[in-house]
Amino acid sequence: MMARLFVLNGWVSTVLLAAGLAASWRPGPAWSVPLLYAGLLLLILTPVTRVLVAGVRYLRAGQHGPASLAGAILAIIALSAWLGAR
Amino acid sequence: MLTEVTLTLGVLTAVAGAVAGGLGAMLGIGGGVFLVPALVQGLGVPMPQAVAVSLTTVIATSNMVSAEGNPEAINMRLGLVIELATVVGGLTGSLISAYVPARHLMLLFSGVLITMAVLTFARRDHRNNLPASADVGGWGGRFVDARTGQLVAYRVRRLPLAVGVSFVAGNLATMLGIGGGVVKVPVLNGWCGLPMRVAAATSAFMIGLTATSGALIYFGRGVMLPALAASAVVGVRLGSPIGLRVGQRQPPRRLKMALAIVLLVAAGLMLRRLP
Repeated sequence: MMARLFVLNGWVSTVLLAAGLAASWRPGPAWSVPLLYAGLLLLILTPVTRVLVAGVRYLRAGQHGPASLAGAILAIIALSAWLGAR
Repeated sequence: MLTEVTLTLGVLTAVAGAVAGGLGAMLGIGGGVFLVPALVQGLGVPMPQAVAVSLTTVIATSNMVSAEGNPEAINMRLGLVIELATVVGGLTGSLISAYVPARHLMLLFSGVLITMAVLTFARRDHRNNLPASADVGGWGGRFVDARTGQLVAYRVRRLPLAVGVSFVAGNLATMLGIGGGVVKVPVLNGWCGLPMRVAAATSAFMIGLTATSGALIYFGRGVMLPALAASAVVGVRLGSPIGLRVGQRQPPRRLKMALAIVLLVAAGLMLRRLP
């Protein structure tokens, strides 16, 4: 189920990026930017979602070590996002 | 800095992305080792923007391989341990990168590639496959080799080495726009007991995370040119399924030889055009 969701996610981000590209090379209203940003954001957040899902699974299975590692990784990525936004 | 992406530049970037995605999916690397030189030298993209685009293609390759490759070969627990070291390295690398001149970055990039090519070539006949019934210890695992159809076991050795190298790989990855797979795959396979396919699959899973922290910082700084990144990602989407299929049918020795050659060619391209 999750694997299918990740595959679908990959295709959706690709379609958004391709549509954004096509729009950027056509004269007219500049609605390519939201499409490109949405596609890139979806793409960049996929690995984060994967670790989040793995962390929740480890937590449910009572494996606190790997769950903590997943949490620490997500915290550092969040810190990166915050540093980037500053 | 580039501010506009013409149709020609977009198409050429997509072609470079397809090649990078194919190589990345085949060898468990992000493809940045090919894409960064191609963008900088072939298409005249400034190094920081090339690095930012490359990080997004690394994520695209990782997503593709993790979802549609051989998920069974990914050692998730080991991946999380060494990825923690890598993302910490990635964070420090992204903070340092703003203060390092492009020439030094390019020299560092070439030096890392040549070293890894020599190490990969020297260990080309090294195998870590154990019988399926073998004790795999706390960190090892088992997987079905897609080429032979056999169940293979492996044990993880020298975990501290894997963690230390991953921290260094994280630094290099964010500074150079690569996934860090070019450093991790040779070490995990050559010294830490992982079969080539497990090293490649686990690396492919990790490189996406490594690149995420770097990509977010470049994105926030406004270095990322969305249309250029999108062109490269669309190319990756076309090239990586081909690389994945080709890689699953090749024996490990051939994959290692291919990896060594790719690394040397990328290093040569970068050294030829030093500023």
